[in-house]
Amino acid sequence: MNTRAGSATLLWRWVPPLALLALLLLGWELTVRLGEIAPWLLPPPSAIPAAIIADAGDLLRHTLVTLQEVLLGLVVSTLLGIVTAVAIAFFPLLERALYPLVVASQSVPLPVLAPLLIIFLGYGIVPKILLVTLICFFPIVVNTVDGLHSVDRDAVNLLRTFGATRWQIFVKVRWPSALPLFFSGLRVAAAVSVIGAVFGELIGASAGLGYYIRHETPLFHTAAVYGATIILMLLGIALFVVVRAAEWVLLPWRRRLAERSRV
Amino acid sequence: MSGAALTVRGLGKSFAGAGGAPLRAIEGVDLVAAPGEFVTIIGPSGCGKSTLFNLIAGLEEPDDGTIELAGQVGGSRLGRVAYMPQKDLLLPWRTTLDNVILPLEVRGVRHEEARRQALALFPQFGLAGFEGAYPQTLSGGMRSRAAFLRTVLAGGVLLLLDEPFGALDALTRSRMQEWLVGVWERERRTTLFITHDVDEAIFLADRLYVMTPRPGRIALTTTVDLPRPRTPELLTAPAFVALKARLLRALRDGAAPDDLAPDLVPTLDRTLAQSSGEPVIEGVRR
Repeated sequence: MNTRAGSATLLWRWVPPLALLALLLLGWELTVRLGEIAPWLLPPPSAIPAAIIADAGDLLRHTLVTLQEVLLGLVVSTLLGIVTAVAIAFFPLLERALYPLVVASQSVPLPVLAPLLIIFLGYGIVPKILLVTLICFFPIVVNTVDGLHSVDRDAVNLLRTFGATRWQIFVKVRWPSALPLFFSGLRVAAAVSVIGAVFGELIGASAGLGYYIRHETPLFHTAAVYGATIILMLLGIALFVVVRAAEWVLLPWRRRLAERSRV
Repeated sequence: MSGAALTVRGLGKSFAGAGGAPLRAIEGVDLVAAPGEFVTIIGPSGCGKSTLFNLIAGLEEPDDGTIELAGQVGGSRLGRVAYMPQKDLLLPWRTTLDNVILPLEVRGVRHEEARRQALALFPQFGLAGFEGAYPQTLSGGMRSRAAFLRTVLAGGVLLLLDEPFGALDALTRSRMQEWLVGVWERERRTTLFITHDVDEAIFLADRLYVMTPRPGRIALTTTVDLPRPRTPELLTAPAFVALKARLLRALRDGAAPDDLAPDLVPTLDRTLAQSSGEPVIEGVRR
């Protein structure tokens, strides 16, 4: 790829969203200052970094707790998701039995489920991991199943003419061809995973960013609440980017395709 | 038991057509390939050529008839025939080298040994320097040659090539034919080659079969008594042109009843009627 064209594309990709963001923040700042709105009601954006820095130690501790819950939830949902997807893809009966339940799992309202899980499992980390898993499981399973179904029948037949076993066909053709869609699912899961953890923390926890937000809100530390919220967003974005990077490293053959489709 | 690499007798196969009525793909096909022989099969599209290959490769089992492979009638044929389908089916996540060693991998050949065997053949297949390239970066001709190298490495008693050059442009195609003739004349592997291109069929073959439209039957078989090594000049030689005229006539005659058919002709398939005891109406959509 031409480097100058490459950096120009990069610039073109990042400038519009950043400019829009800056514009919104500027509008916010001006509204607060000119309207003389009380900072506990709506702090100016410029007050948020200050609030984060002032409470950096605490925020870091809570961030690490949330991050731990999210990562464990992602690992559990990935393993569970892959096993479920493979089972669904291989056994039509299981597809009919399991798929509706998988869909149902995504339709359960978290505000209802979260308190129940806390009652059952206590204030510890387990209910948070379960909530993250519940949110992440669905996109991973659905995408991986689609990926496993998307395999080229002719490629499977070609392997059969080589005398390949079902297992060899799975390892050498079906699973690799499902990987791009698996990663799409994982990317979606990574972006939304934070929601599950925060839900659990808001309802019953002794640490984590959700707990921090719940603790600071009644004290009218509004800037700190915004700060924690921004950290949560950054966490989601960072996880998304990490999955993207893993995809880049693990699926080198997709790079060219990705570059081509971007032009 | 015969000395042939492949003996096919009375092969028949039906599929469920639109509306559930059985569709006879091939009917009473007899076919022989001697060891080291290059046999081509020409037929119009929809004559069941690919069905025939799926049967010989062991991907499907025939309704009628037998397939004898190197003297063996029963048992699975999977893993004993090297099949090159119409699509090159190179896996996009594997490099060219890793693609061509796939059949060896499946057979449990050690990785280094498989790579060694494959690499030795790369120059001959015009792929030297592209071992680490992904197939999506290769040209059509190179993809074809890589798929063919994979087929050759698959081994087996028989090479089945199903219109391997069908997707290539005319120029690349004729280059590939000349190249294939060269490779084959050195290796002399028993080969069955499907095509709908009469020039290609004659140019490559020791012997050829002409098939009729559905249900596919053998309309004609003839040996090709043209000198080897084959060169492009052959395409305009009188003997070549005479044979081509004869084959085109056979293809046209074979296709005649279908050509005359109006939009939808219900035809009574007598063979099916006899075998099942009741008449079967088959719709031929054109």
